[in-house]
Amino acid sequence: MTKRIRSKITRGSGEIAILSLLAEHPLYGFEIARQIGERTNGALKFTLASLYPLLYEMEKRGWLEGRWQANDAGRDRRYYRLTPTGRKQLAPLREEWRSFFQALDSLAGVNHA
Amino acid sequence: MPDWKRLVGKRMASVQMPPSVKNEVIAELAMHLEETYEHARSTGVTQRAAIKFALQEVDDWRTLAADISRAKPQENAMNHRTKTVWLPGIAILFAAGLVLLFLDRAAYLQRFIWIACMAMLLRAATSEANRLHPRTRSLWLPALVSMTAAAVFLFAADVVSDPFLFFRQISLHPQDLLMNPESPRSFYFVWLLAQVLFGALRALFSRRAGGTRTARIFAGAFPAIIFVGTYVALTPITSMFSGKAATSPLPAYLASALLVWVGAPALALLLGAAPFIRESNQNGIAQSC
Repeated sequence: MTKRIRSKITRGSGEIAILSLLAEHPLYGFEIARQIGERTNGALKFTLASLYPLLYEMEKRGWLEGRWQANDAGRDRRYYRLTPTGRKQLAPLREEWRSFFQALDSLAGVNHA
Repeated sequence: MPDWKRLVGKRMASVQMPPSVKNEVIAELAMHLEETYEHARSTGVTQRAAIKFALQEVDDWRTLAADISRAKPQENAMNHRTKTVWLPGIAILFAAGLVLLFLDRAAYLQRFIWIACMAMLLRAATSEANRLHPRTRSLWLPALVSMTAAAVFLFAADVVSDPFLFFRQISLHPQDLLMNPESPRSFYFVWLLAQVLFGALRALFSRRAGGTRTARIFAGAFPAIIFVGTYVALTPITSMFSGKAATSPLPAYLASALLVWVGAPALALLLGAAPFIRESNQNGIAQSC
């Protein structure tokens, strides 16, 4: 697999991972990275360098909205929430990934479940 | 503990973006590093190891700066809704005002459209004010405010000097267009045809800016909202001042106004927008990857 293809798959999976997480509730960057790592048992790992360009890109597309908000300890964090446009992207993206894995499975016997 | 903000600020010095946006990015990245460091410390590692762990979040700061420069909206950049709905709407309304100017009819309508343009432009600009470059905020935005105020003032001055002038000046009465063979129909049909082109342009701009199907429909049919406001609200008053209401019942007059000034233009706009409303096939994993 070339680096470019791998990067595209990582980016695409990152988008669906972020959209799925934020569909549950708003989160800030560090927490998004932590939860993705934890919930995928480390299979998907976001560093600062890979997370924020993607978050900003998704925000520019209108899928997310970031707002500064102080937590109980008075620490300012930028919380991301899904916009209605972002919410609409989630179902078709899920379907596309399902089809993608089914196609890969039928071709190469790669079972994603 | 290091001064994370200072550290990130130094490494992100090459990022090209408005200072307010840059400061926000630096604050956010610094907070992420700080939390990574604190998380590492909570596992019992030394301060030095925790700093090293946090700094491993970024392999190459120059690449990160370039990635963020590309991803973050730049100077004068607008949010998605502004790009896909407001901007095409304003641009084409502005063009519609120009067409009316050249056709030299309905001067008050044209002024209304210009004022509406200014108001919408202001709305778009103020919604983005925190992202604007300081010069834009301190020079162009106040200029726009004063221009809008001047346009409103001119309009108000006319209305004060002759309060009924406006209502008499709208010469194209819907029933005349439908019934009276001597009415200036050519203006109306030229204007209606122009709406097909404007609807197409707006939807095209919206699609090029990545607008969703709803945004494209809304952008395409945008002036119909102005037509509703202008005509449905003003037609009864206009008809009273011009005596048209005396020749036919008001509901019939209103219905014809709706048909001529709202229904037909909305259809023309959507007709023009139709080819650009369909979702492009570029969506999908390939695009999202």
